[in-house]
Amino acid sequence: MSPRSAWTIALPYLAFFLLPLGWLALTSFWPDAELARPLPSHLTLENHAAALSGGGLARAVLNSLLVSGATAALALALAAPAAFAVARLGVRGGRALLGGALAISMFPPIATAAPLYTALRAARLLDTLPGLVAPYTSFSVPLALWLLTGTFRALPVELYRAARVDGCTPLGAFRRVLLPLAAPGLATAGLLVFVFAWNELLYAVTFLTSPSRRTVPVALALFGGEFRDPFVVLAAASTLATAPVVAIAVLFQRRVVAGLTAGAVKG
Amino acid sequence: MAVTGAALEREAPRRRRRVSGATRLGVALFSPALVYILALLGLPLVLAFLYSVGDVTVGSVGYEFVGLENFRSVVESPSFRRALVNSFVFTIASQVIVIVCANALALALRERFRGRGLVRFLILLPWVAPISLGAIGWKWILDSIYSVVNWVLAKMHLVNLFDPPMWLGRPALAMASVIAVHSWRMIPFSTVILLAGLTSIPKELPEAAAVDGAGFWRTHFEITLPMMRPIINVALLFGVVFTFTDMTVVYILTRGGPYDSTQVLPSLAFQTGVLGSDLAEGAAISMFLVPILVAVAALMLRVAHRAEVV
Repeated sequence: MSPRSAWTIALPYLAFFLLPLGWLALTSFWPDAELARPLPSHLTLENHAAALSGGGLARAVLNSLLVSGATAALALALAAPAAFAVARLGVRGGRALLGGALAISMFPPIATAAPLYTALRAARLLDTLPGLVAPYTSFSVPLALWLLTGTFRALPVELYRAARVDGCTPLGAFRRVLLPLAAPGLATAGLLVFVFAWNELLYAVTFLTSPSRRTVPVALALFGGEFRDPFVVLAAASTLATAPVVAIAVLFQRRVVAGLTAGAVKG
Repeated sequence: MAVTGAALEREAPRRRRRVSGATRLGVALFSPALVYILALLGLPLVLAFLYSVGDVTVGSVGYEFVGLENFRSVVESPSFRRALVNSFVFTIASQVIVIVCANALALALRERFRGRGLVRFLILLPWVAPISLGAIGWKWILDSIYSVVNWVLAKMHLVNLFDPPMWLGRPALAMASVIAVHSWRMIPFSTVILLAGLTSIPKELPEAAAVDGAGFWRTHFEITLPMMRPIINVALLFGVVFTFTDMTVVYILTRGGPYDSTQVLPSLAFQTGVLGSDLAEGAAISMFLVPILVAVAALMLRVAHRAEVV
């Protein structure tokens, strides 16, 4: 395929992909009074100011950062040793366990929402941020495990052997040699988990009730109905709330692609 | 692994001695993750099953076994039947669109061209941006009064601006809109997976075919596509499972309306179990997802396995 025909395929897709995001971003600069016009006569920052006033949105972004960050950290802490065990220590039935974990994580989140609701209420974690991190992590660990096992398998086995010969215990070899070398894979897995937690809506809307604890997807989904704000303000709020995760994606885009593809090839 | 016979012999006794300790460590390292998954995913699933055969609401304290009562009342409700059909339509239609588009896109993105990195990144953007954001953007684009799509179509004299199509207000149009938006959301992910599969195909094969006189389409359908089968299966499996269990697009765009015409099983389970506070019936609805998912997963894994063997 020539570069030109590659462009002919890619360009319409790009337009299709970026249309809603771009249009929403443009709408956020649109003066409210001019919504009936096909294009605005001038652009304004009033909507962004209105979206930020009251602090609800900043609060939601902070909540989302806390929840997503904690989920990523916890998922990596659980998945990295387990992945190392499957990849290098020859845990019997490791592949079966891996497949089983992945299969369980495919079960519909909605099925577990009700039991988790009851359990969180009993543990007094309902409507708290840790109460959201706990179930997010259980959905993220299988994915992280899957990706990290691939990462550890991709590291030359000679490295592990050399570390052992030089006197490292298996745990020492893992901690001092393999873990630092697996840093790119860890970053990728952490990033994917972060994005998943950042975007999750179902559990967040079910388990959180106080407006001050809302995460970004909940705040956005409930925005219009609750405050009766004009749509332009919602557009501004959405645009502002997305900026952090887009910034992260820009910084780590290579990692994201590399990680997704690594997991896929191993699959 | 390239290890010579002599090296293997030298390694063997040492390795055997090491195995028991290493295995114990392996189990110790693996169990936290396993216990966590079982406790927070496995156990709730078992509980969900118990809920579905019991009498549980948000306010209730006790538990009473009611057998298949919940399932009976679920199956008898017209909303459920509607949602079941919708779920299949939604999943199959969007996955067909996703796989075809992702395939074409992956083929295009395999080529080296100026700006490829940028295009790859931009295509990944809808996946990174919160889906609530994308869905809100689409909701605005398809809005009944301010729809930019209608405005453009009116300029092209394709629709009447004073009697515009209600993209989310008419049953058939609403379903089409929801499918389109969900495909929009899923294509990036599938593209990346398929791209990985494409890059792992040795370049020599399609080149040899080209030398032997096969055209682009013939090479694609008879060489590239069969070799991509396993990876397409992976993408499809993830896509089907995800689409079947997800309600975000439906919830934000239509909340299942108009007249339940876009209601899918997850959104119905959410409305019944969480918003309607009838945990038992909600659990029963979501239980219907499980056997279908297991069947799909088993089928796909078998196909993938066979493809690898051949």
